[in-house]
Amino acid sequence: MRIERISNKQGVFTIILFVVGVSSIFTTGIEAGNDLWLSVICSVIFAIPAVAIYARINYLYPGKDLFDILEICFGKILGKIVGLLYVWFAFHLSSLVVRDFGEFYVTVAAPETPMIVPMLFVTLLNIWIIKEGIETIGKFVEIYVPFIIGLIIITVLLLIPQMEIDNLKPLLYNGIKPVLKGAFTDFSFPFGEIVIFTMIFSSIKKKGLSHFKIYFSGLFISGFIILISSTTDLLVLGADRVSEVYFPSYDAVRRLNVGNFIQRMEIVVSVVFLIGGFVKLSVCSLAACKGLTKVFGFKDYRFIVTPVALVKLNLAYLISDSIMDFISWSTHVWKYYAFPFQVVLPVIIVIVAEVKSRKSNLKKT
Amino acid sequence: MMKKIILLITIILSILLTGCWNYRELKELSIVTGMAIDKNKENGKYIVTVEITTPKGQKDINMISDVISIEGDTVFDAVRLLILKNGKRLYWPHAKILIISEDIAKEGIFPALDFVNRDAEVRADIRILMSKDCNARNILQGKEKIHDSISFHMNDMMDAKDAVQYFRDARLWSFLNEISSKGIAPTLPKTFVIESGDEVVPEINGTAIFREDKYIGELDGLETKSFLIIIGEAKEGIYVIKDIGGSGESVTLESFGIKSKIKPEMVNGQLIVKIKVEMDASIGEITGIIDFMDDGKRKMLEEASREQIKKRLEDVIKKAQQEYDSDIFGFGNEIKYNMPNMWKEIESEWDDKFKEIKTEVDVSIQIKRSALLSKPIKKGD
Repeated sequence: MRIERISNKQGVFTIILFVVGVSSIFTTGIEAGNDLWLSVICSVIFAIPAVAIYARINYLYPGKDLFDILEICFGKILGKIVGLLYVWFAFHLSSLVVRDFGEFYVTVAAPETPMIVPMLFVTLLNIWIIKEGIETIGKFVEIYVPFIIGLIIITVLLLIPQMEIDNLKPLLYNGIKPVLKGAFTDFSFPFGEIVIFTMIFSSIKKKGLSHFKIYFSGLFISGFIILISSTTDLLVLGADRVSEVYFPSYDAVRRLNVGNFIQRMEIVVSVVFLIGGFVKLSVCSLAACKGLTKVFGFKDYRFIVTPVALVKLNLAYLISDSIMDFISWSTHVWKYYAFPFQVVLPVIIVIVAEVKSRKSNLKKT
Repeated sequence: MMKKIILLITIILSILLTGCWNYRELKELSIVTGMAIDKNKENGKYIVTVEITTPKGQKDINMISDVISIEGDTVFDAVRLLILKNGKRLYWPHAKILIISEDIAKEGIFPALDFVNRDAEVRADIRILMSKDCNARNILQGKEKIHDSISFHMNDMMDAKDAVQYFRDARLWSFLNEISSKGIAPTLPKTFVIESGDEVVPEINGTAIFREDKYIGELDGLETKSFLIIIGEAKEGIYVIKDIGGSGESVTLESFGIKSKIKPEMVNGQLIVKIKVEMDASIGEITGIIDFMDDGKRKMLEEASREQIKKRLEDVIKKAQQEYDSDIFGFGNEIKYNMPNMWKEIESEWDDKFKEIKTEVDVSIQIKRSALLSKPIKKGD
């Protein structure tokens, strides 16, 4: 079977869209109030060691996925169990993204449409792109990233007249604690989710140090975009409003009005979310399918894509009863739920992998 | 072959099956341009009145406006019941103004605002006004010659606010921001109807002051002008300076650039809010024959206008402090932004503190132009 490869640039772009996509509609870390921007910066700093660990895992075993590495490090049985946990994580995350699609579409655009309709369509497209493989995803992002970044920059520039610098004052009014809390939330969503890429980045073309480069340029560029977009939300809406609406960016862009001529640009937010969210969904589903294949020892992952996607659709539909439940779960529970997958397990894996690879190197020489 | 057939079917279906299943044609829509909410005192129900615009006609399409109103237990209930009267569903995104009646404002404005704030169809930049001395619906029912639609007429009036300044523009989002913030008391523009002959014309003039979500008092048009200077929302305006230096003559100043800054400071352990206003003005009209353009007289004019404008600003502050005890200027927010530690101490008792806070108003006026003339009109000796 042909080995599928994506270039370094495509790898970076995938990370950018993965991180920016869903975060373009949800502004996380609002616990920090008007110091939101500080907590975004803090969360990127928190993410540096975590992402370094992810890159190191990929770097130690070039050409291998997380699931292979788990089996090498922990042996067959324990490796498979941990592998299944990660499959669940990727699968669950992907169904949350599907749910995001449904909630966003139904809340802002078509309140009378059943939520299953947008979710079904995005799932069908998702099945298609995963069957086409990671190369297609790579090309997809290569086309869309410049377009998305351009859109975000133009929108932010046009929003400048609506911004009020007073919304950022006073600095650190409630002390540093809420900022750290917000930074933790921001870390778990979206930056910590980069862990998913350890499951698919065996497909990067070049070997060696480029893994670090890819992970870090992805992290910094997407961190910068998120810093800009959440600060824009804050400047335009103020901390109170940001914490009370479901989709702050959407609300902020509604205010956009240049000379009564350029206005009602909300669709921009939808487009960014649609494309970015789709990339996130595809990456997560791809990771889940690849993981299942590896854990159960199949050769190709493609035959499993459709059933997994349909189960995912059902899970997304049943995962919560209402948007209130959904949002409160994602803001209050997700960060603790995701922490073992994003930090604890990778740390253990990297330590074991480090020891094992040293040993095997010693044997060779 | 099979693949080609499937592709063909896909293309044909995607052309034939596009569109939304609940789409609405323009002619089936009633476009809402304005909304008014009253409360029936007898049974406690809400009376929702909307002005709708419908395109009519075959070749030349005219926009016909119509006003309909109905009672319901809540605002949303009434909005849905409107379909009974109108026969069509209402289309909200173009709603420009929302008028709340004085009665509702006195009891608390939240029940009337929640639907508008929550619903996805109404935009957050809708303008809010409070009707004074009349039902909110009477304003929409007024007749007016220039526009077919009263709502559009009022929207135009409010767009011209910079030139008139007898009211302050309030959008739904800005009003809600002010309600939720402790350091500023929310305000709305006041509107009422004037009868002139057989015409009933809506007018917007003055400011309604709220404490939290309840209406407690008002400023008239002239006071609103001073209020706007203090909060820095007056960028230009006309100010009549009367009886300059005891001469009994008046000058009308037209100001193009007004800057104002509110700055709280600690002076000798006492909190003082300093308000600094800088104004660039030109002489727009002189009623008498005194030549205010020459050096000495100009100083006199500057001095007199400084004094008079300062007095007006101080009067408004005094009124807000003593009569209504409402921080409409956002002094609290300024303290929060500039002295966060101080604000933490006084935040809980701000409502009592505001009354006693010392203010210092500093006005500086520079007269830079005098329109086309360099001398007043001469009288033959």
